[in-house]
Amino acid sequence: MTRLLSIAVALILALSMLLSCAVAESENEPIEVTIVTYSWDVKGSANTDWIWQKYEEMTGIHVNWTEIPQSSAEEKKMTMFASGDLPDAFFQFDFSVDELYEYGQKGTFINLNDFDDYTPALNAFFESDKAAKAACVMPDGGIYGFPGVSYNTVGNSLRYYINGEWLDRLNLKVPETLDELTATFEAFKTQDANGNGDTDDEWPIYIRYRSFGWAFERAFEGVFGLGDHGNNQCDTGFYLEDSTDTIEYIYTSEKCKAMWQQFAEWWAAGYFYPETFGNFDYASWVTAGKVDDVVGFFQWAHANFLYDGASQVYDGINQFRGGISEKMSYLNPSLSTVGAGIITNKCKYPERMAKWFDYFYSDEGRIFTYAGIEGETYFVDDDGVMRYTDDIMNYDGGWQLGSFQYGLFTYGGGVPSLEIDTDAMFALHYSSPEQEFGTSVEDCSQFCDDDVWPAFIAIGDEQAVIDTYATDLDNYVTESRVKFVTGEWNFEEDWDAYVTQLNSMGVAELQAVRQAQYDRYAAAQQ
Amino acid sequence: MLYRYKSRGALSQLRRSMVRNTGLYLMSLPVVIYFIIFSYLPMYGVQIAFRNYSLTEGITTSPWVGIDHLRVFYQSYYFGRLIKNTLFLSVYSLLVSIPAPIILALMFQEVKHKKLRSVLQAISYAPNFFSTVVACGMIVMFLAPNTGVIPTLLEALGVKLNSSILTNKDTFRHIYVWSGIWQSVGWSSLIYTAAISGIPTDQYEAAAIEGASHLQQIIHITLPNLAPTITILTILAMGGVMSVGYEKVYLLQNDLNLETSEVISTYVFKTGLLNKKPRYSFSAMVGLFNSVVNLILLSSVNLLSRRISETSLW
Repeated sequence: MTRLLSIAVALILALSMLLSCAVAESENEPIEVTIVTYSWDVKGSANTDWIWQKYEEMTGIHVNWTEIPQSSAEEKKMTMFASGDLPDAFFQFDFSVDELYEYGQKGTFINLNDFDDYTPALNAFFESDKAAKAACVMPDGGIYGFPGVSYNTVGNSLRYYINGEWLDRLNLKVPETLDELTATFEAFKTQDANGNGDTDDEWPIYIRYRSFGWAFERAFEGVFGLGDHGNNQCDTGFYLEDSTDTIEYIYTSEKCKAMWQQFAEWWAAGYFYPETFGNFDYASWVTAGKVDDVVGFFQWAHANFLYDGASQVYDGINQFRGGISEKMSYLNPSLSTVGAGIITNKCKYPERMAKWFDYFYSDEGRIFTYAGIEGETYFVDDDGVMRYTDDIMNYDGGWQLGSFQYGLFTYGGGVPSLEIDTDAMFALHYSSPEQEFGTSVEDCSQFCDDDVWPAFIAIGDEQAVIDTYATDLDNYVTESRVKFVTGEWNFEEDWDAYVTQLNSMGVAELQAVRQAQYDRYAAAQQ
Repeated sequence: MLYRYKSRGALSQLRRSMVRNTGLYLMSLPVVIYFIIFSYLPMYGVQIAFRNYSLTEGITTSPWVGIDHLRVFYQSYYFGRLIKNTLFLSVYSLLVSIPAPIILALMFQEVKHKKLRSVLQAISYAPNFFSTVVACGMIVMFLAPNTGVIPTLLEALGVKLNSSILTNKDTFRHIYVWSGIWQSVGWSSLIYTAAISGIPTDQYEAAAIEGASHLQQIIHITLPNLAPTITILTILAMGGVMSVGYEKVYLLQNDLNLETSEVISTYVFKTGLLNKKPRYSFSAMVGLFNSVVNLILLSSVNLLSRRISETSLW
């Protein structure tokens, strides 16, 4: 009996040794996985990308990329989940936080907590940025995705731009406060800012079609104390009232009234293009003249949105001072995407896959994903600064598309990665935030709150409550905003009725949900 | 299709008819299969209107919620307005779009020069081939302040416009309906032109001998002969009363004319697809509600027409 036992033990020992040998050997054993990602018109297939060929040499993992156009992604997602025909992983494939949580809870997406031995770099990142971690940990404690992170606050925000040529011609400086901005608009409107002899063909403010509410107004919410905690906060329609430390509805607040009064004043003075709320066609408008002869002030992420080369003419502004607050409200958190990389329960090698993703957060991995390999995609110049090769810089569509041809993580956003230092990133393409945005990261960070909220997660019945009330409230606000701003309604007579109407449409119910979500977030931060 | 089987012996009659007309039945088979596959089978998806559909749980396994979604829609602030706008837009366009092509067809009939008539007809139905997006782009351009043809013309005539035409909530309905006429009237008049040319000429000749004037001929011969066509087309149009197509409304819509331009289909589009968190079940329910109302309208108009004029779809 004892003999039998000892033989058995010996056998087991031998087996386990063999096994552990096998495991050690399989470390870089070639395997194949399938990953779903977006396809891009501006680049060839990921299956032939330089970066993935190099990465396969390093890891032994051969990736079969399944590429889906962004436009049909939602549809494909539906069929994939309905049929259960899932890939091993998703890369740069947008899942909302709610979807991530839903599939994570159901076990469709693996919980990275179970594989944290294989994600040392990600763990180190979470250690260094608690807020980012709080955003990634779902209410059930699980982490279901690799995040996309960029500390480039300049690039994470929607910014104001003002026509520098007009300022020079009228001998004005870049406005810093709201009052100075109003005075500047007045000068643009009444004096011949474009210098063509006609004082009537300048429009101080240009707003992109259908973006007054979610873009123009949202940026100004920071000035009126409605947007201290960034874009996701504004997006909920609620703000954190400092005086009471409670979550309040933006659109029934006195602060919002003050903001709309300001807009109404600008409207009445004729600073807005009269078709701002109409179906006007941007192209037909600007072809009437040179764009920079027509547009005085606009806002977007990059000035070149207006036309190629606009960043040479337009000066960037972070936020205006002299209001209730001076925070940038259209600011996305540094952790822009929670589920940028996802491993599914169909994956046979979750450990290897976790390691595969984790490398992107290590110091070497960050250089590899953004700069590539020295001598192939970048070189180090005499001052020790990394620069892209001429091949990338001279690419027809510019450096960004040039680097993207190699598969570097520089295009499209929502990539599972930790972007390299912002100045180094700009230096790679011989530029700087000052050159492109008219501000440095340091200047910009003065206007950024320390606590930029992630998108909150709905649990239990919360989503049903939001669904029931939010759409109608949003619609009513959209409609009423226009009436107040254009003067169809006036603030003395119609404001109270407007507030009463909103309150009867479920503000209180929605507020309770948002307050609960905020409380959970605040508790997770501790 | 045209004769109805008596309920007794219907099956054996059908069998006999099938044996006799095997070729015809075989020829209709692809169409029947097409409708089964693409129109009837997908109907099982309608059940998501009564469930809380989620992607992971799938169509048949998401939890049932009964008519909760309908209740939310009914209690919504926008319910009354959506119904009102939808009905207003469609009834208005029905009232205009039924007589307009008849009148146009009668007018074409009076153009005796053959070449001229076909040129005019070609011009009138050309806009029918513009896609909705192109047509709306043209409408927006024509009405654009400063640069548009129509405001410029109006200004030249001394009409002072306070605001742009498209952002005025009172003009939206007229623009919608009359631009629809511009697009479709020529094309819809073709069917009447065809019907008119099918009227035996001896009727006109007899009337002329009896001394009927030209107008009397139209009223007593042309129109009665057109009546069945008019009835059928009207019944068909009634079936679409609640379904104002979303593309055109959506493309002409802006924040300022929402009050008159938001209709059920744009609402479904916005809550169901544009929403950051699409409400599949809710919009399916609103869409279903829409279809049910349409079905009821269509059946009752059909019934009414069968009683009164003996012309009906079934």
